[in-house]
Amino acid sequence: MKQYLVAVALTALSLPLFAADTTPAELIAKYEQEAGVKADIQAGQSLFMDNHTGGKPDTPSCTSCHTKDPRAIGKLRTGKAVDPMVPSVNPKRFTDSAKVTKWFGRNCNSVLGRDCTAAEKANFIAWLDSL
Amino acid sequence: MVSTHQKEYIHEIICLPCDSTGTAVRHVAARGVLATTVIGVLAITLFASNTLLSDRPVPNLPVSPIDPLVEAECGACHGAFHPSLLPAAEWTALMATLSDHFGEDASLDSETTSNIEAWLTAHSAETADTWPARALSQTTPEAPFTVTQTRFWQHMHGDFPDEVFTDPAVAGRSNCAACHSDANRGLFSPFAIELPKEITL
Repeated sequence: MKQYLVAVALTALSLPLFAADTTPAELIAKYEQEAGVKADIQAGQSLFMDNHTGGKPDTPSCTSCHTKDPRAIGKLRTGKAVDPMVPSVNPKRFTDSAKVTKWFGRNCNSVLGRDCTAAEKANFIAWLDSL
Repeated sequence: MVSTHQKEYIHEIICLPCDSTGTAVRHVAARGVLATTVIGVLAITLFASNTLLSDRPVPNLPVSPIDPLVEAECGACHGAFHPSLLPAAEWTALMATLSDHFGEDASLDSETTSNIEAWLTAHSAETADTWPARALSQTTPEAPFTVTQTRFWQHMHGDFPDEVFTDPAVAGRSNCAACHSDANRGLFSPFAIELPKEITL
């Protein structure tokens, strides 16, 4: 009993380190609803893989940092590693809505030079979640 | 040559008063208590001042460690630079241009932005008394908030070939901590430099 309580207490203490308030499925549903269309997995793949114009010259594509294999560890321009994008490889991915908002905001502007549409966000997560 | 008469005369001058054998004697009473007191007071004074001084914080050393919010947000993309490496005006300018931050959009919400800016400017180069802080406390209008473009940085790193910085173990000039193990405290002591094993010069 005592050990059980200690385990529960330790688990409770460790929770704030991993602020999970959503899931990939929830996010896809939310963006689909905003867009009014179903997510298109193929379009999500193109969005990730293609080179775009209009963004900042150093980051023409998502793959500039995340590499062409979203299951792999990516590398930022600063040399820092970035965890895999695929939720089945990295279960923390797309579970913190504040982080998702922040990084879509930054990276859509860096790569596309504009905000992503709700449909693009749904497609993007749907493709990564299908891998 | 000194004559016998002169010798006697010198003896008289030097040896007064003399004992029966002619050896000079000066009668002084030993003052043990006074001696012990003087030495004791000196010892206590020295010990006390040493203790008091070493208990005082060293004035103007850079703050340590880096604020957790700054570490989390700035450190998400690059090693969080110590606030003492830029003057306050340049931190303000940097925080105002996060949407185009060295070629990427690094925007933050306004509350986080102002919290980070407040901490950075409160601990900027003007507030620290280290060698890099003194050298970097001037603004550099030709390359704002780019430490690696300052004359000081280039002077200190000018001998290194490009390959050192392109090596994956270093991954760029902005990665201070690759070689400076005390980078996150802003000290940059010459004794804390350790090149990665992969680097051969």
